[in-house]
Amino acid sequence: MRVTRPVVVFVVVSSFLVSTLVAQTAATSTQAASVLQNAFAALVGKSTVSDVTLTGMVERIAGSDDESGNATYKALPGSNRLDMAFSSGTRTEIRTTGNSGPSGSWIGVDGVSHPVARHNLMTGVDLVPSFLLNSLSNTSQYSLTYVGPETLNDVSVTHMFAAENTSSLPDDQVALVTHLSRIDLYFDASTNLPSKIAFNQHPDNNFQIDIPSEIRYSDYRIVDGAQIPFHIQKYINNSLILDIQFQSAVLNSGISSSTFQVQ
Amino acid sequence: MTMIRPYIFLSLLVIFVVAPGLLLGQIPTGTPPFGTFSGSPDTINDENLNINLVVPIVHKPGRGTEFTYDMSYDSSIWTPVGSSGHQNWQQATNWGWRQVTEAMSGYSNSSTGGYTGDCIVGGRNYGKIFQYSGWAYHGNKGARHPVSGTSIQAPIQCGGNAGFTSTTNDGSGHTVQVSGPLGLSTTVTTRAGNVIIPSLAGSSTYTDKNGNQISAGSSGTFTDTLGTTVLTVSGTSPNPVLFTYTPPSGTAVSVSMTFVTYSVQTNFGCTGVSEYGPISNALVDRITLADSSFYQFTYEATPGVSGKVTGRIASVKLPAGGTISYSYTGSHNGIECADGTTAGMHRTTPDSGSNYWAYDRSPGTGAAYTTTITDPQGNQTVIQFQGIYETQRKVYQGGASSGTLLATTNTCYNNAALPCTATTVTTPILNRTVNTQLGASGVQTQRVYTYSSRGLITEEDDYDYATGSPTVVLKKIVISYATLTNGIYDKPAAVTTYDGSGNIVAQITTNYDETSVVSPPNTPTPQHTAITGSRGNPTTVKTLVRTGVTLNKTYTYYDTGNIKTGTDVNGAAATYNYGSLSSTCGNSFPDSVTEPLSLSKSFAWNCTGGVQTSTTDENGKTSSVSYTTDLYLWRPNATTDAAGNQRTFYYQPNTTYPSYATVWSLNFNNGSSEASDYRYLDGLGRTYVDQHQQSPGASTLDTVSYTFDSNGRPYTTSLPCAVTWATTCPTVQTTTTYDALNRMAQVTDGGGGTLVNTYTQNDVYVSAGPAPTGENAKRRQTNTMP
Repeated sequence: MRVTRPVVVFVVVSSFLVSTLVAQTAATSTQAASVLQNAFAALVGKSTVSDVTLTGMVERIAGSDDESGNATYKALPGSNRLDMAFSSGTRTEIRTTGNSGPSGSWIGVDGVSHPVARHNLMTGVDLVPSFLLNSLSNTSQYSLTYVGPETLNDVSVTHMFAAENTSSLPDDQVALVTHLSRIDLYFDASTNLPSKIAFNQHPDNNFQIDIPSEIRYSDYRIVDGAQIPFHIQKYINNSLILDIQFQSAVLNSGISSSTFQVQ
Repeated sequence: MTMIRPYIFLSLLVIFVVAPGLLLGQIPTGTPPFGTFSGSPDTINDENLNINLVVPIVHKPGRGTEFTYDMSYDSSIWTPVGSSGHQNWQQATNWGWRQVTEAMSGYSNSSTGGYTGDCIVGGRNYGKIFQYSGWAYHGNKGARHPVSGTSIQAPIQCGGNAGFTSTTNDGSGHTVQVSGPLGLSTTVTTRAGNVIIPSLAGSSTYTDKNGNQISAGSSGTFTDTLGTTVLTVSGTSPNPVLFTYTPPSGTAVSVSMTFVTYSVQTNFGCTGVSEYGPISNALVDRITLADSSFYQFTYEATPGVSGKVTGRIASVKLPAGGTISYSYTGSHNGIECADGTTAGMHRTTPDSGSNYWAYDRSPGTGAAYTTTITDPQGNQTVIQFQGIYETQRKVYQGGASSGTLLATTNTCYNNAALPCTATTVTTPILNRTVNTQLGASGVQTQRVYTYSSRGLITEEDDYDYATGSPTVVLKKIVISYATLTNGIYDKPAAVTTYDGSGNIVAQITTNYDETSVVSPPNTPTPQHTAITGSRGNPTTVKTLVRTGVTLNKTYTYYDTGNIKTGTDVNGAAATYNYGSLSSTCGNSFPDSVTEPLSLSKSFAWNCTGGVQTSTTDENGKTSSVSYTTDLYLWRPNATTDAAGNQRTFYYQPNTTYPSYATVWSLNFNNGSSEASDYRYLDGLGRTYVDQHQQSPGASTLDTVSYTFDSNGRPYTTSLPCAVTWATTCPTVQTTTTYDALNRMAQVTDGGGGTLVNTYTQNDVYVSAGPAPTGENAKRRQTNTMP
């Protein structure tokens, strides 16, 4: 599948965000849109970012497995790829968005590619928060809801959530699609930077089971004017499964869309 | 209403905030058909070591259908699930407990499904398409009955929603109709023709084949067939959940389920499967019955992690005071990484003392597993399975490696050749052969069962003992079933028993629904719906007495399914009368019977409890049962016989009899004489002291006391003695021991005499000893039939 490369310049995106938020749908709250806008501004400032490449170390924990290796993360708006090289082999996760919607695959240490279940692509989760916030700002696709201030690990945060815009769906799908596509976002109240996103994964063969999942961001560093989280942790059922400490970040290197070809 | 006094049964309740979404149920839970189980009062699935606890909460007689509300629990709460390259442990819904309505009706769900695509027509996206498969009906005790079929949720532009109708093939015989994508409109018809619209926690109905209906409202109110509110459930976890009903005293009482918040975390250490937690969860801590007795539950401490629990049950304390404890053994802290079943377990009971029941599993090829059960006396039983189906059982006196093999039972399915330990079992099971060989190479006997596709037995062939494969049939029973409508499949049309030569030795044939039902004289009958088509009510029952000659009984019915007239083999008819709605509890129980010879009896009922309170016999004499004072359960406080003698009952808690006892006493002879029975119960609710007062007011009681062995079997019976209340007798009268097959091995009396049973092939030699001086020991030989 050929994926059209959506070159996104954050300055432009910022303008887009503002304009779309003005014309937000009835389902999107003004407060939520404002929170998203502030977060986006905190992340990208006036920088221009079309792609991101991060490299560093990763620790993967799964039951008795606890292995470390090298991690390379590449992303375009709507597409991302995480390659993790361990002594046991390489693991790869790819997600992209094409004309027929999102798709993804994962490749285990045996080298076999497996498709990601469509119901696990509905949240649009992305390790890089700026691209995620960019996609959520599209109110024709997502509705935003403000929850309010909360405390997260002794830090004040602002909580909102996004879910797929269901205005065009049959009535009996609204609740289900809202549930499957919901993603909760927590922004540091002092910096407006994303602290955590929370969403439900589901077993490959059953979207009716929720697996609470989180991605936690920290160690933000400024790279070419943009805030990039260098420490990313993924939790499932409140259990740490991936701990990635990036050591370098390169923006706008001209990553080819073929990098994200789902295998 | 019969409140099952939960001395023996584990009575548990549940409630219910649904744990995040899980609708797995892939580990067979409950007591599925053709499963193999052990334990009591808990039920252990010997194949996967799931612990099933069932607690009767409210049982009340009804019109055609008793109201039964039992809470149950299954211990297999962890299952590995895969998601986008990661695996993690996922907990069972409600941490293994049934939910409010599920406890009455069961529920249906789909365990697999996906978002398969978008509905794009003419370039416009009308919505998404979801598929639901892996459907099953889960019975109200936790057994999962799978059906094949896929339902679709799609916009109308892409065909709309679609369901299916399918029949289980696990032997339960349910027909499941899924008319909504999420199963919200599931209808389950049992093979008996009872129709269930199940639900986890919402509204639900159970309608029997005669239209009598039990219903559950979405607010937790349950209405029985008598039309009374029999139970209300309120509250949700982590707050107490109350199960409220009305006892004989008339003042509503509640059973309460309370919770403790634990930090739940697993540490199974399976490669590639992420652990769960720590996450705070409210787990059931205690279920307190109306009389303040209670069940209490503890949970396994997470190995290697301080202050956390895995959520797996560690113990249950019973209302009678006994505790059953569980610890998990084997690799990965006692869990099979592939499917989450228990790898091994030690089960300690009040009887087992410092010993325990050990269950050890080992996987074989494919669906094969072997479970070795070691009882507290060290005897081992080795059971092989294919899936949940037992294929071979070897029972050893002592250990499997060094003990004596007492018996080998091979069980094969669908005509597979014996032995079939490596043969995959496919459902439906239409044939089951059970071959038992005594000793290591002794005689064999065999039973062959055939079944319908709905799990109904259609034939049983019993073979005589033989050296080698049994070939001589001693007895054959053939059952055919009536062809009826409304999904009624389980009504025998003919049950015929043949001898080994093929001669009919007994036969009962039954016709159904030959005559139309009539309405009771007073209507409307509460909780009743009209039925057209078959009802499956037997109208003619013919018993063969000799060739070509039968004795016939006939019956007619009201539309409730209650008998209107019954005519015996001599043509004498009895008519059951329902005089008014109030006197019959809504046409549920007859208030009189008109009998032959112009005789009659009459009855009175308490509709709140569904219990009979008096009977006036053909001579006009009335005997009564008083249900007026009990504060907690539907138990009589007194009975009065036709002669006016009154027996009084006392239950715990009771300040007069503080020990855990049930007591009745009967004064007569103007108070000068008394008959009484004091039964003191042990921690498992068994009588261990049985006493009778010697005279009114006496503190000396004629007493017999009992003990049980480490396996829970009756062990000693005392010599009767005269002691005070709740005191055991000092001298043992008889001591009984058993072999690993639970056969009586030896009985020793108080004088040193013994009866020793020796089992050789299918012979039993009973030796009485010691031999009198100058005589030989006496021995009797018996030969057992299969």
